[in-house]
Amino acid sequence: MKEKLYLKSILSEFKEKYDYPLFKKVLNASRRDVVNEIKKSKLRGRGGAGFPTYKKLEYVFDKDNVHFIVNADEGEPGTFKDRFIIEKNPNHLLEGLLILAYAVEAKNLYIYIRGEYKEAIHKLEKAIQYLNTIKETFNYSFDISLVKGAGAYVCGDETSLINSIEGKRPNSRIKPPYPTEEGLYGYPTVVNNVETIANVPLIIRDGGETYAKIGTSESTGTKLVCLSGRIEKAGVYEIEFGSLTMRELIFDLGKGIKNGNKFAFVIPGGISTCVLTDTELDVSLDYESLKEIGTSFGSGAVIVGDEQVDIVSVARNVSDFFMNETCGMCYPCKEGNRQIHHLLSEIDKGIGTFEYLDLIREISNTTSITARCGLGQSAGNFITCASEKFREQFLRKMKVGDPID
Amino acid sequence: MIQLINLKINGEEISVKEGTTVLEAAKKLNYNIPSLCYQEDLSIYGSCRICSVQIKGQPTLSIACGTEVSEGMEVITNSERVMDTRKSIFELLIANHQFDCELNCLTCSKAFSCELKKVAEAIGVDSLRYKFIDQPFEIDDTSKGVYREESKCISCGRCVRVCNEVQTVSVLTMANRGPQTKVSTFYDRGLGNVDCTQCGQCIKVCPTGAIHEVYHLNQVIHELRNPKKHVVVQIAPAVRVSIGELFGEKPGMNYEGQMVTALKKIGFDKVFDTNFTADLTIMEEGSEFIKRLETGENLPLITSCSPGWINYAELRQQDLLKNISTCKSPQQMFGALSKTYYAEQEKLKRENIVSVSIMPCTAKKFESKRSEMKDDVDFVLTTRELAKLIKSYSIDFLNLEITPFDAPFGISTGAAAIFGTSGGVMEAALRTAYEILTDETLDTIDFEMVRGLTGTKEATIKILDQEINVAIVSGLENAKQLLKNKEKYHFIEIMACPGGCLNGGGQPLHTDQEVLKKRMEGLYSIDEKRSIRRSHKNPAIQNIYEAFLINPLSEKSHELLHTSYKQR
Repeated sequence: MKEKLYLKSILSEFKEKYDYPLFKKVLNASRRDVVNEIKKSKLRGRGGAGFPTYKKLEYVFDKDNVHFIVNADEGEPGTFKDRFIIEKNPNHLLEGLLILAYAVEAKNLYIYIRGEYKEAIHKLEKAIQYLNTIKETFNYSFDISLVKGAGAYVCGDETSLINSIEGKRPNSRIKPPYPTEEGLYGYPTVVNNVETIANVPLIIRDGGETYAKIGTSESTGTKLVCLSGRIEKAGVYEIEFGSLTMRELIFDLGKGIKNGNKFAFVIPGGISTCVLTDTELDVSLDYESLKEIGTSFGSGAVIVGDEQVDIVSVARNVSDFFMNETCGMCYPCKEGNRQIHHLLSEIDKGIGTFEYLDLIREISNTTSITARCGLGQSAGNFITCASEKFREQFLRKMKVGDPID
Repeated sequence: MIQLINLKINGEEISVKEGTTVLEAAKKLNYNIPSLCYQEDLSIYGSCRICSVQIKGQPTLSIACGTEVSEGMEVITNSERVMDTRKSIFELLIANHQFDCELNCLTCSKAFSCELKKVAEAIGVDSLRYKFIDQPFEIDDTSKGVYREESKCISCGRCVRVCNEVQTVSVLTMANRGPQTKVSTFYDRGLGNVDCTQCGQCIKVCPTGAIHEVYHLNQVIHELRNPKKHVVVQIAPAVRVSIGELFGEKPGMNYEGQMVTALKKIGFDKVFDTNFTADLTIMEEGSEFIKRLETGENLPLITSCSPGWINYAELRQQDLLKNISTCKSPQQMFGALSKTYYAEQEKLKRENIVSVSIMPCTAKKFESKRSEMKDDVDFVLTTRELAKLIKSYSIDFLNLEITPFDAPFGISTGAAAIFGTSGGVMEAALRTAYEILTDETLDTIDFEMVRGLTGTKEATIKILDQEINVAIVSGLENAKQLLKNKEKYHFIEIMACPGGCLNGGGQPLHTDQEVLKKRMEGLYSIDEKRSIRRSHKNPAIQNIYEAFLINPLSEKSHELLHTSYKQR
């Protein structure tokens, strides 16, 4: 079992003085043609939700003064693919951005990047600097701004990110209106993840139909996965959708569990996704197969745990993260995550009771249907899932004397 | 053409205008969907999620306040899922607070007007299963008018929005994230150390007891118990038409006679009427206006009665300070007279007089503590504090006999009564200025064009051969906008609170436009019933000029009734 080196191979062709041939190529085609190629490719957003990319382009296609934002605020724990892309080949991201910008006639382009990504920022700055020197060679004017995030996870949510660029508190916005209707400074705005955009030059180079042949019918192309945790060979792997199972990813590509320990669980797509057990490892790695078993590819953060990892304290740690990273605006998310954290801390300390698990499930359920944004709606996924699939381990920590069944 | 949208709410069909929210549509069918962060006239915030409803076809619940109706929409407001979820959110919210006897519901500023209690009832809360998780809460006692207790704040953002959207003073903000999210001020300096005007509109919208006035109530009670002290009290125009609400009466009813009786029973030595010094203000300010009109200097003249506005001007509109009337507010004119003229008359020592005022205002508390005011007014009670005082002396307020105000500051005109509403000071001033300038008697003294609760009003009045352009503005955002074109006007009335003093930060809470309208009508009805309706015809005013002040703008007047402003 091997990696599919598709995106990675183009990423390795970094040139400091890059003249953006694929962008020049699309400038000779019509905007409609570009959108059609994207549509044919069946490219889906790589940020976590898997939304068809061409749809966002269609929404704004006939609108004036479209703004375009690259979401490079990669904050999901265990995710480092966007950083990988930018550090390897910032030109490639810029080329994808320019192609999409042309497709929707966007002139104001923003890259919102996680502030801690010093190296990526440095490389991107240099690449933008060079791009600006050759601007006249394109028959298309544009302006790229690099905006550095200040460390709030919630800025990864597109409407919070837009507020942040505007200099406002990064609360999510009430939708509708969606950003494609009323986004940055009130203009129609497309927000795409780095990896999504990084796939665009490939689609232009090879054609949408060719691209769509990679992967499965619903999940086309390749995906960068960030393998981490108790794994022998952690790192960013490129896989073709549907070409291998989770087991193969962990044991073939990742060379198995660290120190030959026994596998215990894997988080398939970052800490907002449902955890998988040993019996579920033969799931094929594509959007639809993962959805079928109640989880998702999320951001591509595959985090592996072995027997020595205490999943209760992992859950507590996850709840700590969400508690501290909620924007604090809507009650279910702000107060719910705090309560979950409190309840899990007590369980972890051995002073929890049996009914705590019911309360956690109830809070998680309430938050999932009432929170303002994706952060809140998905914050409880991993925790409730872990507490169900690894119930024994949670119960073992309960106060002595409590009924176990 | 207005598009009508057809939808179903709990199976009942209804057609509403396009753009209506689910919350508004449900109200038309008499479903009052509970909510906490929603507030009429403020932007939709969508933080509390209490108004969540089920919309057919949506995987998650939707907020009724922030969801516009659409054709064929089917809304369920009372399903098991909706009701259980609301309870769950509410329980989580309550767990944010130390909701026990230490943070007692009996002593809370909103003990009897707490929206949390109303919402709890509306959603049928029957258990509280989540524990309070301890965290540090701070108290902001830096301001002289407004007091904040973080421990009761549910961060619904209503105070932040009223400050940002209605007043555009924007001193309140949300700060931090996660569990540390809270309402704060610039660098957490506290309301007393930022550009807060102390208008108290934040108090009026707060659903809990997290923001309230700085209480002077216990200090007043303390003074009342001191036999050596002669305690006098004045009552502002707007208080009499709203105090009844705090005893379950409808807004707009005039309770001035009952208030006098109550305050006498409580032990105040003299009960006076701020309306008296409102008439005096008209004499001074009217004369000031005539003088400025003659010299053409420092026009437009801008009124100075609203201390929230004065604070705003000193903090944010400093180039206008020369335009503002040098007249003290009626409260402070009264204070000055109570400790000079009145003291002389009654042969009392200044230090033995305690001068108390009852105001619809929180900024008045700050005003009374200004160094320029020399402790002329010792304590300021809000309308709400007055109700507390009356209740704590177990007085059956509504059944009291009527008692007139005491002399010599008890006689007032209709012109003074309407100081309590936006446009009132202007109208009172015009009545007097017109008659003094023309030496004629006005046929009709009702200046309808300056009346009403509209934020910005304009009028042109012909006096002799001159067209006088006046503007009346209430709410600080409205003021800010109007002042951009101030050159157009000769005279501008500015009140910090939308609608004027009848909607002041010290007034009974939870008011809507209907309540304000009733209070306004109450004030105009007092004016109409008064036999004297022009300030310059007030015999008590004529007396005090003869006996003490000599003339408007005299040296004595300047010493006692006028003040100065400074950049802050």
